[in-house]
Amino acid sequence: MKTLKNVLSGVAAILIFITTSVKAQDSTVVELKVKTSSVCGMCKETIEEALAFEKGVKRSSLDVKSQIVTVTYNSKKTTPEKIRLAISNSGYDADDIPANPKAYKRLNDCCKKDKAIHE
Amino acid sequence: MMRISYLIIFLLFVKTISAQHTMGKVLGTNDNGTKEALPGANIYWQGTTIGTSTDSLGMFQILNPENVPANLIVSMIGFASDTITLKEQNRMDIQIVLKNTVNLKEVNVETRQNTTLYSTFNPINTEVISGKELLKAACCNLSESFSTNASIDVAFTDAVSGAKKIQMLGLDGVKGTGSVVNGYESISGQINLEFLKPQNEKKRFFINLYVNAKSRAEVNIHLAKKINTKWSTMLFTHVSDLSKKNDMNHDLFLDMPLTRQYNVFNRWDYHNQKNFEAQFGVKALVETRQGGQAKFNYKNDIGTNGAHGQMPSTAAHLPTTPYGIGINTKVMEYFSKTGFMFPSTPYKSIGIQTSGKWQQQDMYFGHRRYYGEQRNFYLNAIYANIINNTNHKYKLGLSYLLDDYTERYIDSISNSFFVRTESVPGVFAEYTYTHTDNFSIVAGARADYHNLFGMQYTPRLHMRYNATKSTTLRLSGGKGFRTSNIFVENQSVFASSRQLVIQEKLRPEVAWNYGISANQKFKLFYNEAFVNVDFFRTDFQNQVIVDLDQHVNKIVFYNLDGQSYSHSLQVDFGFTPIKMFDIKMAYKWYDVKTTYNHVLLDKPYVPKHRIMLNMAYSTYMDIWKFDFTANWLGQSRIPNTLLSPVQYQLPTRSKEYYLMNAQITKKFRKFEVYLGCENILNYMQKNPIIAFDNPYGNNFDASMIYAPVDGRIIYAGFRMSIK
Repeated sequence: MKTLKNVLSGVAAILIFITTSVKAQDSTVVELKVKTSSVCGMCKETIEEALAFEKGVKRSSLDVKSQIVTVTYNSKKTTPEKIRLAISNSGYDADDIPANPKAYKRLNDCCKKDKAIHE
Repeated sequence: MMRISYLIIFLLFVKTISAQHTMGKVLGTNDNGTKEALPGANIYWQGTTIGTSTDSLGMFQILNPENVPANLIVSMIGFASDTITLKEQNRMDIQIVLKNTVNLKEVNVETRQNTTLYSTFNPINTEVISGKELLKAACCNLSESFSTNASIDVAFTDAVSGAKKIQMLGLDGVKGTGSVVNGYESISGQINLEFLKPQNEKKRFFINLYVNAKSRAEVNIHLAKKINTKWSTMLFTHVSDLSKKNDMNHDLFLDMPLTRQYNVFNRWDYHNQKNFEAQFGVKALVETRQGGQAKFNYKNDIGTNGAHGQMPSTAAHLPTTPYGIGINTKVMEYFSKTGFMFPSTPYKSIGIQTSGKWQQQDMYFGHRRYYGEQRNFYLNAIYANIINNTNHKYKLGLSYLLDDYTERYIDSISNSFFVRTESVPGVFAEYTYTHTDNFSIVAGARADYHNLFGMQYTPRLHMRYNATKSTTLRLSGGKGFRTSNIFVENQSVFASSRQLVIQEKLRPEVAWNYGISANQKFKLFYNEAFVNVDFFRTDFQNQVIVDLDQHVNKIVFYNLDGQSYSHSLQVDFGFTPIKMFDIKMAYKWYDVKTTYNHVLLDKPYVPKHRIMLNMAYSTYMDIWKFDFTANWLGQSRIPNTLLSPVQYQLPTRSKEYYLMNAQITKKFRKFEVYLGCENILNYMQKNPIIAFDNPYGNNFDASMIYAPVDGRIIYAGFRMSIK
């Protein structure tokens, strides 16, 4: 019974930790909009996932129709250049930085630039 | 103007227009480029279960999405799916044109990789099988329910062989009665095992490595390849190994048996992109388990005395021979599913499924020995069509089952063969009525002629009613029929000194099952929450009784004489207090009673009350995932041990206990790792093996198990996939 209590209080502690860390707000969080060469929902997934692993990036959301990805990031930890480079390394143009050719080659056929924008 | 004319059309065709719906029409371009109304197209809101299909004029009406903008997905076999984003509710003028494509893409059939056993707290709603996707083709989504098998594993581990079993409704299998299309067997329901399908598989390569602190290792590798637009294939391999001997409780017996399993499954999909699709696959499994006393050595202790198919004499071992247990299984299986569609009438289809299986099981439990071989063939043909419009659908079919068993059982007093061949042709019919999207009823019946037990009639009925857009009520009822395999289903009891007694000729089990369930969705903390309540009753007309109470030295089988039933009540509550953090709670009550030797008793080892709590938290893009589950299991009845000497007697009821598991997963760019712990509290049944010091004696029993016999297990693993 005592072990149970310990475990439950441990769980409660984790919960409190999670709650507080979710609510913690950083004042250096800024937003960046980048025009990409994405064409479809799969591209959206690829880019958002690539950005998720980028240091300092909090969130990103790509709008397939406008090809613009909105990135929320911590300006103390990363820079717009680094973010654009990350997009390029995932195989897509990012504003004036062209896609990394190696990564571009690996993209699925439906994600290549010559395709029209499709869902 | 356009908008108004559509409105008028709708007023003519739809009797009641409620303000809570979004409406429209689906058209399809045919080969010569003209557009025509498309009946039977599937429509749903992305990420929800709200869906409907178009009527005979291509019209549809669907409940409004919770929030806008929302994506409406429209799909139809033979046409390219389309997604449109709606920015407002109550639109009534939607027109969607699907392009005819040669690509017969199956739409959004949720695939689930089955590697784990379903927990009793996570019941699969049988409606999923018989419900909304009926129209697409008799094959291959309906036929998915054929991978469905009231697959019976072992529920509680006996203390030596380490086998596990799933129980639902306190019985074997999953909740509620199934569709007649899937056969006559389901008494308490079915377990739907669905493998990944090659044509939807994005990952070309997947690997999972697992290792635990007790030296168990597992490897899973999946390979997927799209060969061309028509053919695709997947290969699944699984190897698991435990070769280190553990005896933590020092009873000289291994805590977990030494195990090695090889499992290979290769499946192929073919779509001719017009009117024909097929899936087939082959599977092979080899498994060896060896448990018992740690010093047992197969070669020395059994090998000379009847190994490799050669049966030992009935003479018992010398008491000094170490006690060993082994279960060796070999399985070869194949399946095929073919579907023919009629492109101009997509609601019409023919599906044919076949499967075959050969299984060999060789077991020894001390001086007890069992050898069994099963050959099985199954054929099912389904014709699906509609009456006038897609509100009235029906299915007709034929099936044939051939099951051939050769079993041999040997112990110190008997040496007998059990041979039986079951040959069962059958016919079935099922009718589905759908009224808009809030009411549907499925009524089915089948007749099967069993060569040993004669004609069997199996009626089944299912109803679903969406009282509001967030309230769903379900009713089900039906009959089921199965023959039991007493050796395989009760193998854990062989790890005891109990003698096998078959009192009479055993008849098949027949039961009626009735169920009711209600599901309510609502908002809590600004997020989706749900409450689900269901109640089932199963009433046996005949049952093969496994009587452990008559005598501590016997396991007695006979036909039910009296009452036998199972009641189960389950309440589930799930909510999301903060984003990405889900909490689920469940309570389950079982009342499973059977007449044992003229006395109505609780089924042994089934806890009357259980509570479960699950908490899952993940960070953005699932980079971190935390999962914690706690179970509380109440008392259950333990078979009578009053005839044993006092030191070997057990209490009449088990102790209640807690089980807790936790897992953390961290995702990296190319791979992910996980770390977890099962049975965190390290709860174990004390002295699980009765009279372990004398395994050949009269009191030995390793099968009286109600709780884990294995303690805390810490494990870690690695997953990687290449797209």
